[in-house]
Amino acid sequence: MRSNNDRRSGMLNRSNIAVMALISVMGASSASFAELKGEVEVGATYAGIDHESSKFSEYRGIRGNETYFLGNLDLLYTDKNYYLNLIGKDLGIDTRNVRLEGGRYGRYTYFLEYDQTPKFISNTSRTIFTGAGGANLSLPAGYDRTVLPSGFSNVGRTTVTALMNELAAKGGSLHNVDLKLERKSGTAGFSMTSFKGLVDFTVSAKHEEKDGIKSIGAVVQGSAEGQGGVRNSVILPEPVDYVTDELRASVAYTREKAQLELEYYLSAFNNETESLKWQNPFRYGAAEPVISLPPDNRYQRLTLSGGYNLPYNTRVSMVAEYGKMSQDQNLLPYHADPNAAATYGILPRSSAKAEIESKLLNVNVSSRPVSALSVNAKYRHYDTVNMTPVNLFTYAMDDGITPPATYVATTANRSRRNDPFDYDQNKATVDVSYRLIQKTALNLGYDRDEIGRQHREQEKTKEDIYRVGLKSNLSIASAGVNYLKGKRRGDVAYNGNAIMDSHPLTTDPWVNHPDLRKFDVADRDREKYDYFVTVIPAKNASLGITVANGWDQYPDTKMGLLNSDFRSYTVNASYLPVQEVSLHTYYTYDTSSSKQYGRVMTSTASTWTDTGRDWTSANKDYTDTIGAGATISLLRGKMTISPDYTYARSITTIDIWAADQTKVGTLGPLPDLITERHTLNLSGKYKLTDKLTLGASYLYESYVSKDWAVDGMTLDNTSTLPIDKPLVPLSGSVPNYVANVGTISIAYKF
Amino acid sequence: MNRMKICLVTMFICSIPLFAHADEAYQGDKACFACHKDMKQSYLDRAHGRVLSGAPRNDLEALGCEACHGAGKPHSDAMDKDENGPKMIEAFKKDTGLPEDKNKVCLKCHEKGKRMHWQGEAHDRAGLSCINCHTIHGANRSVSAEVCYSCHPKQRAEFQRASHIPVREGKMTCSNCHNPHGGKGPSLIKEASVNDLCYTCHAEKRGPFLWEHAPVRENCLNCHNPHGSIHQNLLKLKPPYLCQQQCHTPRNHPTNAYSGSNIVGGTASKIVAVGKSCLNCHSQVHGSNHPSGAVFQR
Repeated sequence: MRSNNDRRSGMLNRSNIAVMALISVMGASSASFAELKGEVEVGATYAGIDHESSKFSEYRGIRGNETYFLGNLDLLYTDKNYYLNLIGKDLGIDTRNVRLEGGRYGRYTYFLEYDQTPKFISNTSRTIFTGAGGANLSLPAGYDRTVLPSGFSNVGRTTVTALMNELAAKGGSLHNVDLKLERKSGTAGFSMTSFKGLVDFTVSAKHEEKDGIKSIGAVVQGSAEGQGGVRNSVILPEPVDYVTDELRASVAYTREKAQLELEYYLSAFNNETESLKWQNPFRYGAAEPVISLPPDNRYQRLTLSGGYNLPYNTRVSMVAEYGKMSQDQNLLPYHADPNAAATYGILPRSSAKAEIESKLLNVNVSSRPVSALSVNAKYRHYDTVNMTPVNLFTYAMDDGITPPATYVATTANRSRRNDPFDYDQNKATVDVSYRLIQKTALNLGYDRDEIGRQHREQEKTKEDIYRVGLKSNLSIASAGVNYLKGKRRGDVAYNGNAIMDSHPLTTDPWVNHPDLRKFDVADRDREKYDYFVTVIPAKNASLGITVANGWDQYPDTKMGLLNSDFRSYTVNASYLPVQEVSLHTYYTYDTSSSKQYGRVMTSTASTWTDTGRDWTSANKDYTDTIGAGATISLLRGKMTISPDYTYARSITTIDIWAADQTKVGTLGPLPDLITERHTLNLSGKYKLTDKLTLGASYLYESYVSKDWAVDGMTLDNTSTLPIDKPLVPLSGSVPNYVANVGTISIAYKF
Repeated sequence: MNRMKICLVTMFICSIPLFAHADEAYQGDKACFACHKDMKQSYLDRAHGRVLSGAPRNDLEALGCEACHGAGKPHSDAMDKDENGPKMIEAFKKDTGLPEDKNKVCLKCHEKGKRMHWQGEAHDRAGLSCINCHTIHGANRSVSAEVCYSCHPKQRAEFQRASHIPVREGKMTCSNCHNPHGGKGPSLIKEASVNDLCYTCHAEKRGPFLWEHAPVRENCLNCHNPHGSIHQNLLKLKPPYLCQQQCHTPRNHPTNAYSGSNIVGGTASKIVAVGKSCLNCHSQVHGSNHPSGAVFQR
């Protein structure tokens, strides 16, 4: 596996070469039409923070209490109609982007681009394993796995306490592990227009590396004797070492009446780490467990697009596309121990041989036979065909146990068939718009959407959607209202046993309750409406209101998702009291809610029909978002100040109730899930001279989150862990923080 | 034959005034810049000016300013007579004229590539014209997300949520996923399907896998809200309420009513309610390539 440092230096060297090439080209030019202009900004940023937090760093690329170089540039070199443009952003931090583009206006263009995007996930995670970031995770030296009881049912916390005691006794310690991903990509492209602008040719290639560590849950059996029951879970640091290469090439022919374009696209994904092996902290087993990681895959696609303009303002356009995604990675054995693997039998094939074809046909006819009337008709056919071979695979639960010798004979009914899921969609849409009066139009629309699926509970759904709207754009005000009503129904009876396609030998069905309707294929009634009003009382002011509401009801569902809805309200305003001052603000209030129904069931058949075991839950999300900003020009334009403030708060409430808690279990109230962020950014620029500008900014940000799923859960204190089953966590909570970020810079414009 | 020659000569002579009229109506850039001095440099510095007035590729482009705005002479004549009268030119003002008339001018050259399917698509049907989003003479190279927010405030608020894609940090913008001129897929997305779009950045989730998860293969939006969410990983709902209890109700642990009693500190804390919830064990929800990965644990 290549080291991250090797990759980093390679990528940076390539971008340095590009910069040097640009400078040499610029320096060599002395033509009379040649001109170099642009802006270079340098400075420094310091981020002070009270608690280091991955949430602050997330996509910013900076950590707290560190100083960073600030560098931005935009250089444009022109020589008559030739140009060379170098743009660099965030050069001193891990979100940097550098793009070099050149060519001849209207004739050809070439570019090179380097881009970097970080994602900080967690800075509080701790693991018992060594080797984080690699493909093998080891327990501390001397760690004794025999201290844990075998068959430790429902003693999770005790188990982990024993584990922690063992760690402490051996002097082992938890290791900090930063969960962080980073993308680095390099792209090169060329495009050319020739034959008086009739033919365009474009080609580009992109190479992206994504490295880092994220987290993944892994599971082993709690006891050796059973094929089920208690599981032990460990959250592992998962290595991410991905490389994706892309190629795009297209040729297009364009006339005023007719256009045609052919495009080829290739995406090749390679994972340098194909599996993750980890030492089982709970017990010794036949072998150390192995979990599969995303396999290498390929995708190729050919797209033909075209359009033709007919008389009477009529146009026909189409897209036809054929794609194929494939994956043929060698399969891992059923069991990491070769002797145990033999007990499970021989793999039906050695590699995945997975393939899915996709086909798209879009045909669009739009016509405006008279100025006031427009008619659009569209047909879409999208089809995926899963051609992956279907075989029976023995279901070996994990590598942590040695299977009994009689396993294959007694548990063959656990064999599973890999169902090749796929679907196809046929959708027809008609829209008619009629201009009633000047700039006021009535819109009517109808969609018919049919989706067919393989191996699903509902193999075909048909949906009718009716739309009506009215929109007016006047000089002092604009307004619009839209209403949508949809009705989706299954074409055949809902088949809750469809999942059993994958269990052809099972005599003990493990199926969903017959009253469950999965929401993505269930019968659904949908309504939505939205409206907006924007008033411009004067040339220097505007006020707007936007409202959007929607409801989904699942009329045939007695278990599962019963209904969901959303509501969104926005008020926004802008005002320019004087030429030097502009102000804007907005407030958005969003809610969404859903209600679902369940029943606590065991393997005892009577529980399936016992309505006394029923429960209901209601999930509600509320968010408030406020934004306000201004741009103020002072000292006859020499100074500009731009304050900007954002407030975002979200609250989730989950209520669960049941008529009989003796059967359902005690239902304690769940605390609210909360996030709250204040961001205030004050930035200013002062023109020292015509060419020199001094810049400064100050950012204040505070963040608070409360999440009962992760807050306070740590291996340092086993009383913070669940007691029903052993869990060795990794991800810590997201620290709340208050950050103060100051930036000072100077920009030279020429 | 002679009659034919006479006819042709007569037609040629009669047509001379027509051609002359057409040529005279177009005055060239200099006439435009004589009045519109403030426009000159910003126009000439940008691609439009460089091509149309610098290196035109065809007869239309060779008309310079008038390739887009139309013949200038009726305009200059009208302005000489009455400054407040009809402008006699396509001025691309937002509050005058019909959007389709303005768009026709742009589409003469730009009805190709990403804009090939503009006519009849959602933004065309909404009565937008190119200048609602683009500044033709201005310095902006590309349209920022702020432009989209003016009509899509719900999405602006969603990008401010705790779980979000890096739009507000400037590493992505709306056009990374959507083609506002008319995309191949639903909701103007650039690719044929939602999943095809997501795979362009998340190729590791493309597979195909030996063990597929049906709703995942069909549509990422079954579980995720791509613009932003209150819940981690852009999920639409907090697990286990999303996974187990909307789609999975076999016996035992997926059917339990998880409440405040089951979180850490509760009277009966459970592994399913905390940490990664369902994904503490079923971590391979996007698909597994392990021969024993049927329940997405390996």
